Amino acid sequence: MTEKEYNTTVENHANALFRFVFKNLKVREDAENIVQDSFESLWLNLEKVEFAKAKSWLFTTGYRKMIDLIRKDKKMVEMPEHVRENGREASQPDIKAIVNKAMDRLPEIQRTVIMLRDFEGYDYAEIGKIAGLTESQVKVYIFRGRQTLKNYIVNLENII
Amino acid sequence: MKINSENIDELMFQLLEGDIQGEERTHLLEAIAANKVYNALWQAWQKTLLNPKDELIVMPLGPLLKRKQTVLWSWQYGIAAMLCLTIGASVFYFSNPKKEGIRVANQKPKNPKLEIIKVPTNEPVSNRLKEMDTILTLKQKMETLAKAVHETPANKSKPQPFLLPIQNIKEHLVEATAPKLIEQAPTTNNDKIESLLVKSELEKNVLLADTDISGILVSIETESKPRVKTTEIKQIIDERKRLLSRVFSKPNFKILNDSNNLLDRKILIENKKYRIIAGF
Repeated sequence: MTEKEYNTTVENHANALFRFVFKNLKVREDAENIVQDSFESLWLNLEKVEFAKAKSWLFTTGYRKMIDLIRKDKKMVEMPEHVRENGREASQPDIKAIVNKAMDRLPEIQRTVIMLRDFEGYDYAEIGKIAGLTESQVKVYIFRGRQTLKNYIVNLENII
Repeated sequence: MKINSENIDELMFQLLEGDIQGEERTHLLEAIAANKVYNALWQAWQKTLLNPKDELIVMPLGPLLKRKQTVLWSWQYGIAAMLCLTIGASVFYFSNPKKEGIRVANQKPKNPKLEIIKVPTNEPVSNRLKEMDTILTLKQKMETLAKAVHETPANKSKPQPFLLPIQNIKEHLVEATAPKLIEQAPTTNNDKIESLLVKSELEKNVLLADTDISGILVSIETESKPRVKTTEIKQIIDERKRLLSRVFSKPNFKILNDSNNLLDRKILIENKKYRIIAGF
């Protein structure tokens, strides 16, 4: 990968990686640090990483760093108020806020694979490479995660 | 495809993930649409899909971008610089056929040491007279005295008071200030200096060979000291100063051991290259 390709990678994938990490960690500073560390690693391994595989490499690195941070600090998903409600009142939930709330309740691995699937459009094999899972494991985790989300949404709609 | 409450979630998940295509997909969608419960479930399943456009979270990308850095030093640049310097120096050297600038630069050190050359101090004139006095033996003195006593008035030679000619003092001064070191002075003055040296040597030899000893003898007996007019001495010194100024190009000129006796003075002349101490 060349320097120019590296900068192209930054412009194309940095925000996606940041969103992926931030949606998991819920702390902006931690997410930014992980993104910066990931791109620093990419810069250091510039000659080893192919441009076509840069995104996958970045998400793999970012995911591992995120897991390390979660395990180290045991930071779990207490979403800050401004993020949780996205500027809206909790008493007036919309479907987006409900889904976000449900996502926060998911296990980290299920949340990760769903975000990689929906936000980044990865197939099962790519998600498996990033998360260190087999395709069938990815599929199962995605299914369980969506099922949890669906149940949460259905139950909440029934309440409303 | 059989749809029931046990497999409806799995079928809807596959439908959502795009694993069911074609007629199966159409058939399944029609079945879902026909059932309100399935339809509600399907709506819920569809809401589990995350839309990336709903999550536009950005961060500053500036710190992540790598600017192209100018490499100030590397071995390639070093070699290129060395080659340029070598070629430039070669062109300069060979384009200057006389190479005068280069030669002069090599010959002149930045901080030349002052070369101190001491010229043997001339003895005072009185000492010289004493030396001359020793030339005659006592017997010769007596013979000369007797001869003088018996001389007729006509033949009587008048005793000559000893007076060393001023010209001879000039020679001594030239001798004191004319060392061979002057040969290292600029070539423009070499001829003048050499002519002065030769002249002084010749006149000196004449003085020693042709001096009338008898005349000196009389003066020795009277022990009269030679007296040299101070004005003439000053004139000679001034003349030497001018000469040395021309030779050494504005030297620092000092008179050392300054005393009331003008004959014991020493002259210090120095410039950037030489220091000459002359006494007389």
